[in-house]
Amino acid sequence: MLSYFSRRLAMMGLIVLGVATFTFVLSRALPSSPVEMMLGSKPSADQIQRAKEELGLDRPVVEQLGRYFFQLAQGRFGTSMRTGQPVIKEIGQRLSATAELVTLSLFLAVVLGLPLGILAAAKRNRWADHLTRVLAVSGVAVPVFFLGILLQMVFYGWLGWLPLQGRIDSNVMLDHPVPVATGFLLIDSLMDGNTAAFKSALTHLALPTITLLLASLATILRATRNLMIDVLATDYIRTARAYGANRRKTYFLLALKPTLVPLLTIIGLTYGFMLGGSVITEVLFDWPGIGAFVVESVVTNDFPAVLGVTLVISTLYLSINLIIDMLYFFLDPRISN
Amino acid sequence: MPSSTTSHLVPWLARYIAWSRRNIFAAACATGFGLIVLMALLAPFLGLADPTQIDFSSKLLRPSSTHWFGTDGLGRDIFSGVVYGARVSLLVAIGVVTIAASIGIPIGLVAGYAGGWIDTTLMRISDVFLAFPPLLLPITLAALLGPGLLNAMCAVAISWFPWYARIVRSTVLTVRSDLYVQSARAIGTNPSSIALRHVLPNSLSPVVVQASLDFGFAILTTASLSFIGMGAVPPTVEWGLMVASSRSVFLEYWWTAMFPGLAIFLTVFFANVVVDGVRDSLDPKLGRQP
Amino acid sequence: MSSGLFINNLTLEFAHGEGRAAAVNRCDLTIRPKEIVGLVGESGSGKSLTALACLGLTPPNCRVSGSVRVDGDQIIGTSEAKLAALRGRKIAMIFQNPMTALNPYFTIGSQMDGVIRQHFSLNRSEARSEAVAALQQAGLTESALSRYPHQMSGGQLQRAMIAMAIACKPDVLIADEPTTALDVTVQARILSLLRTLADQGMGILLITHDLGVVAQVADRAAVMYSGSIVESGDLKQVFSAAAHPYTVGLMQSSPVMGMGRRKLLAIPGVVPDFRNRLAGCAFRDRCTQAQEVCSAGATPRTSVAAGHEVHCHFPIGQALGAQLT
Repeated sequence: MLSYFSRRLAMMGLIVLGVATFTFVLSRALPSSPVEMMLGSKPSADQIQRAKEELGLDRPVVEQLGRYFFQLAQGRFGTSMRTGQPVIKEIGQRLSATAELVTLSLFLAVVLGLPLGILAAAKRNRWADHLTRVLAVSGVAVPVFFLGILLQMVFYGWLGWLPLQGRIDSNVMLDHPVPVATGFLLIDSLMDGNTAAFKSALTHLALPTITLLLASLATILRATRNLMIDVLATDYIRTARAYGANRRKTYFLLALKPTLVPLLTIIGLTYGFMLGGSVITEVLFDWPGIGAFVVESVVTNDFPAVLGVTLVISTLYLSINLIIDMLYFFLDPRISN
Repeated sequence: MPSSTTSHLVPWLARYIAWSRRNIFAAACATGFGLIVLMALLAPFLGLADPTQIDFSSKLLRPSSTHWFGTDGLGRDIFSGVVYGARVSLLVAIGVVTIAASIGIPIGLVAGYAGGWIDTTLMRISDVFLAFPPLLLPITLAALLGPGLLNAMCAVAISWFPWYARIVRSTVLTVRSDLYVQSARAIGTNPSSIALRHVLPNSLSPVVVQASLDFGFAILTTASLSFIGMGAVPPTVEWGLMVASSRSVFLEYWWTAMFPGLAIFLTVFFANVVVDGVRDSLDPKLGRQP
Repeated sequence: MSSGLFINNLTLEFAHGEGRAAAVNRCDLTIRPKEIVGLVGESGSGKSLTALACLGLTPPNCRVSGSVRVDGDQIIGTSEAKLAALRGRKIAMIFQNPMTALNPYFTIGSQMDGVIRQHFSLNRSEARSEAVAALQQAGLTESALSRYPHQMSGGQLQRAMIAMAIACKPDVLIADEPTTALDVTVQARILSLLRTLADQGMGILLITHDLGVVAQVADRAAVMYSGSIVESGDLKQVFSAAAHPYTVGLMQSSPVMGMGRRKLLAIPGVVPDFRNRLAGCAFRDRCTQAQEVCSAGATPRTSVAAGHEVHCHFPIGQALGAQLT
């Protein structure tokens, strides 16, 4: 098992290198020269040439790539051309904002989707099941930005219950600053006993979380329903019934584990999708996360930032998939023994 | 036995019709989808206002008998925008899927047939593509290619071709070990005709499934790209772009965002239900309840 | 209250077109303690459905009528809650494919524990001892408790299933094709285990398509064709004095060891789908002696000898199967 694990890890490393190369080559092909960006207004040809030499942009691409890998190995992701900050620092700050949003969304998607899926399986083909099916298809069909806009219209524009954008009220942040501990505002403000900040963070989290969670909720719900139905039809559940397992509770005790293990893959995939889907949500809600960072960087051709963030996100995505696969080893007796 | 497309089509159609009769909801969605397609096809002949016509004097008008869906911030008629947008979105969906499949299928064939280091290299490259969470790669590629709907479509298609490559490759690997192909090879049939007559028809089914799933996703992804400014640009009429341009005014003028957004939702919804039906009826067992 | 399994007039119907079709048609069968009754039939004859009906496990779209009593308790029409108390405890069933019949995510011990403590109020260690005792009786060791189904062979799994059944101490055991998925050598051992259980007091309904299996262990035999029991009686009787044309046909088409060279005669035609069954005797289109009267109405039940009944207008009187015993 250890050899399998290390092989997968090595493979992942290879792919990450591939991603780095790929994005590096892409970034060198981005339309406007980063030099012009840096130098501001109307630089002379000389200035451009000097800047290029400084940045090493006049060297052959392969050499540039080598240099980049060398820097990466030292943990240096370069400096953002847009903000002047080290890329790694920017990513670190933005990552926790996205992580808070995505984790909360996923948590709710599972907490809601799992029981609803079991319900749909139990009441198969009756109206509750059909309803969940419609919900599932809708969840996937709704464009994320449209859902967000609808929510903003209703809860901010019409009802005025929730804020429009942002992660926290800036006034609250000024008056009741939250010391950074985990990077999750909800947790940090609770730990600090800072109710004003907590409330503000919560209300700001509400709409983006709902926006992000709908598609995943739909997927998890439907997947649970389908998996559970398949399990309920197996021979071994029939055996359990034949030996007196009656109450739904016993079913769901015996049928739950066989359902949950394959469901895990789907949940893992969903987490990955959310990393990508958060881009739209963050842009819409002005959420200071890495999704928005990607868009900002790409739009301004800030290639160190683009490279850095792409690497980080892809590595995260690959790691999650790897972790899920590893989990299987522990959860499915047929694989681990 | 090697499958022939026509010999599958007729009984499949019959099964699909029988299934639709039993499932009113799905039939309704199929009708809805048909209407949208019709609307897209007939758009130029419906005598609608020019959706790109800017007219500041009639900006942000409520829905009325003259402007069924109202007008946007530049005075453009939203109803005709939605109708013409249907043409764009459907073309986008077909285009993206076609391009992705056109790139992916040959690569999959080559990888599956060549085997060895060619296969490994191609698969590692596709792994790199698949290492990106959805949207990340299209955004980066769209930035590279520049603004415009066609570029956005290409960006999405290039991000998705590995799926098709994998499907075809795995079909090739399965079919190669099938007995009838082995016997064909034994008689000396040349590999390309084996590919054409055996592999392609067999991979048709899973490719069609993937393509049908991607249809709705293509619309959503390109609309999302347009929304963040990396897809369609004016004067192209595209639903995502329409929602994007409503961002500054939608709170007070709800119709500017509502109708194009609903259009995207309904189109993808109907398409997905229809696709579910297609998949259910392609399944010869028809065991799973719809 | 008499002990055993009493099946009376059992009919299992499914919706078909505008009406219903009976997959099992008015079956009568009795299994008493200490006896093994072999229910023989080809696939499609309805024997597995009959078995499921005895536990109230028929699919929801099946309409059940008639009576199935285990000891004094009626199965048909009883609530799920009451049935759950009976299942396993009074009547247990072992299934055809042991590889899929046990939950792959739980150990044998954990599954047995769940079942035992479902029916008996014991604590963990008491239940464990019961499980161990049952496993030993079934020919397995204590180590089976900590194993997962995929770690055991087909024969071992079937024994584990039997152990599960034993642990519940039922009065009746239904074994649905218990040896079909197993090797012949394993088969013999499983059958002898069943024999032992019967000798110890259990009544066993052994369902199979294999005449050889019946010949090895059964006390009585019943032959099922297309949903109806066409012949039933004492084993020696049925085998040596088979009275129904179908039974005769079965014997003639089954190879039996030690019979010497004999030409195997297949019964012409195929077993009909229960939805397309003919009126009157279901066997008549394949029967060598069918006549007009066979197509009208129900076939009469005739008593050929003591405890030996046949459903036929023209039961065969010859001692055809004498060579088989």
